[in-house]
Amino acid sequence: MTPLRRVGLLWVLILAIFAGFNIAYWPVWRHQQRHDPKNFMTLAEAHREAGELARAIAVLEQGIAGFRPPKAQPYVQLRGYLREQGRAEDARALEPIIVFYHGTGRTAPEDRAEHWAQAVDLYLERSPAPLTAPLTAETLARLAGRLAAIYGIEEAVLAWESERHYALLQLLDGGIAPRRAIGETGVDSPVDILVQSGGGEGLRRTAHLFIGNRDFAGVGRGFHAALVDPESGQALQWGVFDLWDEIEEAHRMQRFLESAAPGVIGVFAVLDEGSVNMTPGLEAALIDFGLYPEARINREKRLLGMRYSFAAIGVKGAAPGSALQVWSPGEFAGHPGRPVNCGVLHDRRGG
Amino acid sequence: MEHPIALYVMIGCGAFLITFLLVPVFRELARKLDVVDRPGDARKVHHRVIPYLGGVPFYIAFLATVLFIAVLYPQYSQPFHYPMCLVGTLIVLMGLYDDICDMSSAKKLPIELALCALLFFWGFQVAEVAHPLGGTWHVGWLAFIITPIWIAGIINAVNFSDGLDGLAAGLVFICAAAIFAIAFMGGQIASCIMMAYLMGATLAFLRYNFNPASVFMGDTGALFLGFVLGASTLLEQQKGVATIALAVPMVVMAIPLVDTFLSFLRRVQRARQGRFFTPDRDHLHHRLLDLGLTQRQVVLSMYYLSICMGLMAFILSVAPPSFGFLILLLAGMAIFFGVLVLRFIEALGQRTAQGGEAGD
Repeated sequence: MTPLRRVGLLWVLILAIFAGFNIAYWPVWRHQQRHDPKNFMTLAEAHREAGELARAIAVLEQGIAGFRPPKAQPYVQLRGYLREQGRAEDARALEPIIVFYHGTGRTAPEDRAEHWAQAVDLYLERSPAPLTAPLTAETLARLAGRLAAIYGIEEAVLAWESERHYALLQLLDGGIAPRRAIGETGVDSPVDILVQSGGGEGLRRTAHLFIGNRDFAGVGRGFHAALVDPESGQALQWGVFDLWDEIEEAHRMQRFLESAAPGVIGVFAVLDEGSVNMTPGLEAALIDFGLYPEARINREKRLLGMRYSFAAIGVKGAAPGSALQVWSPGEFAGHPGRPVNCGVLHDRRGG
Repeated sequence: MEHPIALYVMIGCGAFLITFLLVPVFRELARKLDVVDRPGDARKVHHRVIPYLGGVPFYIAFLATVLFIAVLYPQYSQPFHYPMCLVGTLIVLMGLYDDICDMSSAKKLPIELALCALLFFWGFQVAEVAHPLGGTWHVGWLAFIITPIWIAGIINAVNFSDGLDGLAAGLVFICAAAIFAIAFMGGQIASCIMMAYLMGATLAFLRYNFNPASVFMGDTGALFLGFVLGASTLLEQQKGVATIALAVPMVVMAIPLVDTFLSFLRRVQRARQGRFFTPDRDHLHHRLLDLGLTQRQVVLSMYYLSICMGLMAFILSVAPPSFGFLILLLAGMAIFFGVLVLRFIEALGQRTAQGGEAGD
């Protein structure tokens, strides 16, 4: 037998083995792919095609809540389903974020700025911005400018009025409470607090913890945290904990959080990375501030994953899930995540 | 995260059993088809005709492992399993061609790089590279270049070490055991599963391949084992938990990697004579044989060195970054002095031989 014939014979044998493997593996793989939580859009569409629209909407909403996809498609799909179900008003509420994400995908900066302006208009049509103190307005402008800088349109955004800065930060995550109420904790902050976490790499490597008008964020990678007196609004302690390299940093942060008295306000923002050495003890200490693991990572729910942006304001001793907490993934389906913002503001209009 | 220890044991035992039972079958098939390694070439150290195809059971055991997980433990099934099976199949086909028709490195290397580059698009990426003072560098678009070079580097390291009975399988077993221990400490289940498979398969193969060998894994087995090992070191990175950065597998694989690197340097020197892709007889194991060590002694020495490196990698993975740099420095110095000592002993041997000839 010639060498080439022998090669051919063995190749046929290997290909037959691989074909047999495929016959057995493919149905299992397809089933898994379909039920992989990451493929929630496909699963939702399958439910819709089967006539289960309510279930399709629930799957999409859970997917969006668990992955916070930084792209327009899931929101467009949800808007379509809501319209189909006759919930036109709910569908309209998704318009600003859809227009925002369509804008981030544009290559020309002018296009991007135009889309963002449109998104802000759509948002302000439905939800008026609070009237903030001048110094808080300055902080809002800084944060909006920082967000815009990442997308190369800082100049255009900084030229906007204060209410538009608020709307831009708010339409993405809804993390800014205009009446100083810290989520569902039942605690009102005595001071305006604004937090921004860039997460990720490059220009996104940013964190701000504005308490009053002073930024208590430190320098460098990690979890930036500050503890605020719930009566006076004064920052009691603050620090940066680099959870990338050393587990000891997680223990240090845990001790820092556990030293806070009940009722103390905790303010958190991640710069670059805050998950690699997250210990169960530290996670429990953060949950004790009313934070809640809602990000889906490898079939588990965690507070945050690799290179996630993450910002939160909580209260020591609050029920899990009651804090203000916003996040965006490092990347989702090839789309990079984005900076997130949360805060508590005093609306000078009252009400 | 709780480790599914029973699953690791089942995968290790399953891979062991499949390899153990199938190697004799493929040994017979290799004899019948005359897919054998004949002595004669100066690089070859065996004196009998030895059948190839001992590596095909690795491939079958891998497919069986992936299927077993998908059907019985779907919670541990991963999206990267199928791409590994697909690219692994192509690598096995290339290995078979090489075993029978002797493919030149000039053709083999670009194909290896292209196949490994395919994995990049499935998320196998060297996105982070450890830097000596702790932490990592995000390499950005360079990941597209580094990823195939890394996997192809490991493939060739395993392939080059497949020159003595039991050497390649033993080194892969030791590397897999070290990475298993490191991944276990880091709670990285996907890596542990792959390493359990590698340990089971290579241990079973050593029953037939340890000196005196009755079967060779051939390029089919060496390329496939290298591919699984190389791709597996990127698993946790692609999942986003980059605690096993490249420094750890580099230390674990130090012996075969250094040998590959030195071989590359020799080839660069020969490139002027247009012999870059021509193999030589200067690999570490060849040089130890030339010093008068028996095949078993050389293989066991290489095992010993690899175990030391594995231990060092384990310490590196648990040590704080400041110590990590010292450990890397220590590993580098140990390798450097090892090479110097080897060259010194070789020079001494040559001088003694020349002295002897002159005396005659």
